[in-house]
Amino acid sequence: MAAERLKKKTAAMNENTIHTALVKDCLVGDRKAQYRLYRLYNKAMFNTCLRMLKSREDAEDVLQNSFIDVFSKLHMFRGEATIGAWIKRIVVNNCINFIKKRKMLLSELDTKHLKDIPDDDNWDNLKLDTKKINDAIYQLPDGYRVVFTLYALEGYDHQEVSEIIGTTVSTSKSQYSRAKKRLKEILIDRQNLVQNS
Amino acid sequence: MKKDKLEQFIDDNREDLDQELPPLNLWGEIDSAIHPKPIKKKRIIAGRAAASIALLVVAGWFFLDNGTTKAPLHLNTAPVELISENNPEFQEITEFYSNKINNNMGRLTSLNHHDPELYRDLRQMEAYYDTLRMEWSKNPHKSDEQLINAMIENYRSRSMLLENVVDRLEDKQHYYSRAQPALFHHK
Repeated sequence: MAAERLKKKTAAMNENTIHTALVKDCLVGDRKAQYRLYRLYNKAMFNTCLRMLKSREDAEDVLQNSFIDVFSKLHMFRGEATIGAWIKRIVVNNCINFIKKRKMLLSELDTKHLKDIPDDDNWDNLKLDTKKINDAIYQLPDGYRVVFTLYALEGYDHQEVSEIIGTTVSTSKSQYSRAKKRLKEILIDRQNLVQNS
Repeated sequence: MKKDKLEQFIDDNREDLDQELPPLNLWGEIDSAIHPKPIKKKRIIAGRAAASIALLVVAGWFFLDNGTTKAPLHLNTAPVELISENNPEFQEITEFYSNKINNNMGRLTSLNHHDPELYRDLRQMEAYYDTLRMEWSKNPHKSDEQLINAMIENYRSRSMLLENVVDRLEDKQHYYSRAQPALFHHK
């Protein structure tokens, strides 16, 4: 167990050292290094954009502008967080700004159609897989989808989520629990649909 | 806060949830935005334009003057016997680039990539180089700085063009070999 932890820690440290070197090369305008940094995170960040924005075209635009921001602001990276976390924050902020310009955030707070599903009951029989979950996430209303993505997938806590989207911690919490409930509903509905057909 | 079944599943399968890939050309857009004055590119383009013009002008002249002149267009050999009279520095520089070009030709061959357009561009640039060299050998003073610089620049452009292409191809291949399995990852 301890050996496993140490292995993980060493791997993480090595990764950090490599990334620090990469950032240094990027700072002097080394194109190859810039491409490597882009390639390290482009896939994960593209998926984040897609989940936040739902539209492929918008996700491509925001991803492109985000990496331009990353390289033009790289001298401001102080290493308090990992470079990956720093890039992710830029991407997420750009997504939020994009959404705010389109005024589509937190517009769908209506909860009237939420069924009262007991939290972990019939839910235990639900078979989960990544594709089903992804599909269900895309069906969430914008406000729910954004909060759910930030909290459950991108690993931000409610304090951070509230800062990112500009709301209170309690709104973030309630929005998240509704989002989760709605997501479970979608998953259960789909499973029933498949079973009944 | 304790994680429920859904949250735990997401945590355990986080990477598999990212199944989409951004378009390949996105990097090109980013690259040209963060390098607003792509000097290399400009020079290569200038080199290409110059090559085309020189080729047109010179082609006719070749026919009239020499009748059967065939430009030596072998890509993977250090072209031309270097004009080294009184100029070891020039020899050194051209040798450096021609080695580089040979190395990159080797890399390109091992990538198994067929790109007639690239070969055509390189040939045109090489032909332009030969024109310059001929011009130089006619010059009795053999010290025309502009000519020498143009020759070195031509070598450099060819080397850069080739290296950029090979780098990009290798990166692309690496990208696919890493990214492709995830594309087909469906449970």
